[in-house]
Order: sequence, then structure tokens, then C-alpha cells
Amino acid sequence: MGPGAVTKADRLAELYRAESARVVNLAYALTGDRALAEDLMQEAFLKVGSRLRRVAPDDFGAYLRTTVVNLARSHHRRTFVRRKHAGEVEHQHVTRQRIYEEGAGVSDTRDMLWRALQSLPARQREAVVCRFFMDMSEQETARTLGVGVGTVKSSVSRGLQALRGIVDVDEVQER
Amino acid sequence: MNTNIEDEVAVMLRERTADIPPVYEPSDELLRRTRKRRTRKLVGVNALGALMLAGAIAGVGSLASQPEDQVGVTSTEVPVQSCFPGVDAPATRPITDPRLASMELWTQGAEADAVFAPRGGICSLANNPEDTVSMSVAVEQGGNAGGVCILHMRSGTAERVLRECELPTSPADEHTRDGDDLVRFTLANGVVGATLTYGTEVMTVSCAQGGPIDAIACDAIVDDYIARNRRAITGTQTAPSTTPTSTPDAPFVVPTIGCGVEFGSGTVNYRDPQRDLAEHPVDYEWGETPPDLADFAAFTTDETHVMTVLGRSEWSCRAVEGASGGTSLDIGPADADAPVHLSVDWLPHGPGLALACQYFATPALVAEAGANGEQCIPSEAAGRTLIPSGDAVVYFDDPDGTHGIAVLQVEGELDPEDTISVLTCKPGVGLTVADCETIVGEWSSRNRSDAP
Repeated sequence: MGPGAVTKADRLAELYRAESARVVNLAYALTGDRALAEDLMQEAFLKVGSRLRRVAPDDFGAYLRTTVVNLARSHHRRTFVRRKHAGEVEHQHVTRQRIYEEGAGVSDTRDMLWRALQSLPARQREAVVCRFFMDMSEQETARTLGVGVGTVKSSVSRGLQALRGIVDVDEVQER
Repeated sequence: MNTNIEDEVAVMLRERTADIPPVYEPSDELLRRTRKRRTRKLVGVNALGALMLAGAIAGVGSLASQPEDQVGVTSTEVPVQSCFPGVDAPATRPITDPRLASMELWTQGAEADAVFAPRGGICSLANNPEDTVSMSVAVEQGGNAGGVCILHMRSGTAERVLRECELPTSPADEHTRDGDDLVRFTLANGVVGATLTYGTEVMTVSCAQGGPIDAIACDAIVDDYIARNRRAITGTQTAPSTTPTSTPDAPFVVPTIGCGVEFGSGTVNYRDPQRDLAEHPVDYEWGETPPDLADFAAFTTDETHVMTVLGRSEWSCRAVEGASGGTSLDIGPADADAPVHLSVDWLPHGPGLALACQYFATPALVAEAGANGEQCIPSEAAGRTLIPSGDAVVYFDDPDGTHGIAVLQVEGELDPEDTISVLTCKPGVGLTVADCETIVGEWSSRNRSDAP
């Protein structure tokens, strides 16, 4: 390799600077945990770093985001299994009451919205975050999540419906 | 507050992430590991280089923890454990790959049915007397677990590999074919492995990172399994995989046959099968024995292929769409009971709920059944063996040989968009056990809802 040639590490470093913040944003929105989000970003780069030659440059960002979504899911699965074994899992739906109970000190509607988002079923949360935070189209969201466009539509619809219920109730009480 | 919830979500998330730096700098360790990973395929050839590499990689559990006195040693011995309780195994086994030095060999007696794993693991067997040997070893460290699974089948399909080793699939999976007999894979969830195929015989090893099992340990385990089991006829026993392909072979294709649909209102819509003749791709992803689909066809009830199941091309089919919304599809010889049956019903529709409760007892199902004064307890009273694969998929085998899969599509509370689907296939007239595996596996690949 001659001087000035772009090495794999050089390319990874460039991609890291270009994509890592966006990936942390996505992971944080999906997990609600900043430190975990940064860990998942690192893990994602480690995973895809070994596949740089196989991923087209234009596809790298999408590939990375799919990897982060999968890593976040794996984290949630492991957490769920641990809690399940510990007898801590109950089937609960997103309700205003639950948000209040779990979030002592919730200060305003946006805090409540944040907690409600974290309480959504994983697929709904992923779909809402990809569509309205990452500004992905329905097709991009479907590819990222590995589901059909129809599933994206229904997941977004259900997720927003649950979130809207939280906000609407809050507005009524503020008046 | 603005009542546009989409905007509110976007604003809220931007506020929440406002303090995330716009640019992160890659750590030296990340870049070093990236550089090293490029050379790690040489490890199997150059053992000394591998050990030097291991020492250079800080924080990589299984290798960094090797005692210093092993540096420079190219041959050593590791403990051997028997996965059969109470059955002795040889005390040690010599190795030449230093990446295995901190591991032990779990064995069932045959070389083909043995796999390395970091020491301190827990081994479990799931042997099917017919033709399957599977063994998994889980290893935990610091509350984080990884695992290794091997599977040895005399006749196999991708579906069986998935079931036995609980491997999910995703479009982001990578498959690298190396010769006619070897496929290496890296699944989107990080699991790596390989499948060796000889005729109808299939051998698979998979490795999930976690605890003391890191990426390099997984590579070592997979490489070793291939080296011990790949047959010399390929002439590529020790060659690392370099084929840059990432997609499986072109899918198999079978013709599509339309089925008459009997509606609950009593009308019958017998469709002209010729109208539906089209090619139906049968997408087997990896690792399977290529099924013989020469006289198979895809039987379908409509152009959307919502209900599409493989069967013998000379067979006939009959679909029923009940007035209440439940649907079914039977496929079989014209003059015999249909060995292939698919039921799809919605929830919390009563019959759908009863069907789902035969296989699942999720909180939503239990709550709904309880509200109706019923119980939701999957029954194995008839000798049925239920094999869960994730929260929403159950494979099952009945004493009469019937093989099947139940897929639950439910998110949160039950609502009419949720469904329960159950496909059964009974070997016998015109179908072998392997045929049923193919039929169930093909349907599963299109209808599992839990792939990551």
C-alpha cells in the first residue's frame, strides 16, 4: 500500500465522525439511556467495521442504523428476560397513571411524552422514532426495521395513538 | 401544547438529544481492532502471529486473559468435557490454534459432535433419536452470557437449524459461500457460524458473542469446527473464506396454483387455476440441504399470497373463509385427507383465541381468556411437543408425526388486526418427514413476525 492510500481504519474513522452522533441519537431515542446509546454505537461500529469492504459507501449509514436497531432490540430482549426471570415483568400498557407512578418528578408534558415513548412496544417505538425523529420515509423505516411498509404504517399509527392519548389528557387537565 | 403529536415527538426528541455532541472521535482502540480484524484470518495459518495479535488487543476477554507463559507456544492441551452427564471424556486434547488455549472441548464422543467453548460453560443436549444431534454451551461472565451451538442432522433444512439453535434471520444477514459444501454466515444480531452440507447431511456451528466469548473467540470456535469436520474432498480444508458474496443462491421457483375459496355465506368461488399460474419463489436462505422441489407447487388463495403453502403439484386444495373471518386452507390428494392444513384466525375472536391458547399463554391471551371465563393453558396432554422459538413462534411435533408451527401476531392488547396462524403437515401419503420440514420451513420463512 503506497503512501497516502486510504486504509480501512481511515475510512472507518471518517465514517465514525460522519455517522456516530446520528447513531447515538437513534440509540438514545430507542433505549432512553445515554450511556447505553454510546455503548451501542461503539458496538455497532465494531460490528460493521469488519464489513466495510462488503458495504457500499452509500449504504453504510443505513446498514449502521439497522445494526443499532438490532442491537437495541437485543438489549431489550436480554433486559426483558432478566426481569422476567426475576419476576419483575407485568403486562402493562402505556397509561397516564403508569407514567405518573413510574416517573415521580415528571415535570411537563414533554417529559411525560418521553416516558410514554420509552414505554411503547419496541416496534411502535422504533417506527415512531425512525419516522419523526430520524426523518425516514416509510420505505426507509421499513428497510431499517426489517419489516413491511404496512407494518410500519400500523406501528406508527398505534404508537402515535398511544402517545396522543397521553398528551390530550394532559392538555385537558392544563385548561 | 401543539396538538400535532408527530411534531411534538420530534421536538421532544430533539430537546432530549440536544446535548449529544455533533461529532464523536473514534477511539484508538476501535481503529486498532479494526486494523487487527483484517488480519485475523491469517491466525489459523500463523499461530505465533495469532498469539502476538492476541496480546496486542487490549480488553478482549478470552485472548487477553491468556497467561503470559503461553506466548510463543504453538501447541498445548486443553480440558475435554463430556456433555453426557456421568460419561467420562478424555482428560485433555492437544490443540494447535492458540485462540483455543483458554477454552475447553465439549464432546458427545464423536469428533463431529464436539465444540470448543471458553471454560466454565454449561452444556446441554437436545438429541432427536431420528437424526439430529444438537449441543449448546452457554458461558456467562459478569452477568453477560454468550453461547455456542452445534447441530448435526442426517437430513436438514434451514428451518430446523433455526429451530434447534434458536437463530433468528434477517435481510441484513450475511452469507458467504466457500465451495459447494461450506457457507459461513454472520447474522444481523452478531451471531456467526458456518454450515457444512454433504448430500442430505448438514452440520452447523453458531456462536453468539457475550461474556467471555468475543468476536475472535467466535471466529476460533467456528474455524476449528470447520477444520475438524470439513471433508478433504473439497481440497480447501484450511483455506479461510474469501469469497465476497453476501447473498444466497438464487431462490428455487415453483409454480403457483390457485385454490377455490368457499365463503361462509355459502357461495363458492372456484377459481381457474390456470389464471394463477406464476412463479412462486421459495427462498431458502442458507445452510440447508437443497430440497427437492421438482414436483412441488405453491397453493394460494389470492394474488396477495396471504395464504400460500407448498404441496405436491398434483394435489388439490380447498380454502374456506368463514363468515366470522377465520380462514383455512387444506392441501392434499383429491381422494384422501389433506395432510397439509393452514388455519388463520383473528383475535380476540373466540375460535382464534381457543386456537392460540393451544400454543401460547401470553399475558394478553390469558387476560382475554380469563375475561371469557376460560383458561389459556397450552396443552401437551395429547403428547404434543411444543418447542418455542421466541415469544411469538412455537414449533410442535405430535406423536403421529405431524409437524407444525404456530405464529402469533399480537402487539399489546388484542385487537382485530392480530392473528394466530397454525400450519400442520402430516407425513404419510406423498410426504416424507423431510417434505414436511420443507413445507413448514418455507411458510415459516415468510410468516415469522419476530425476525430482528
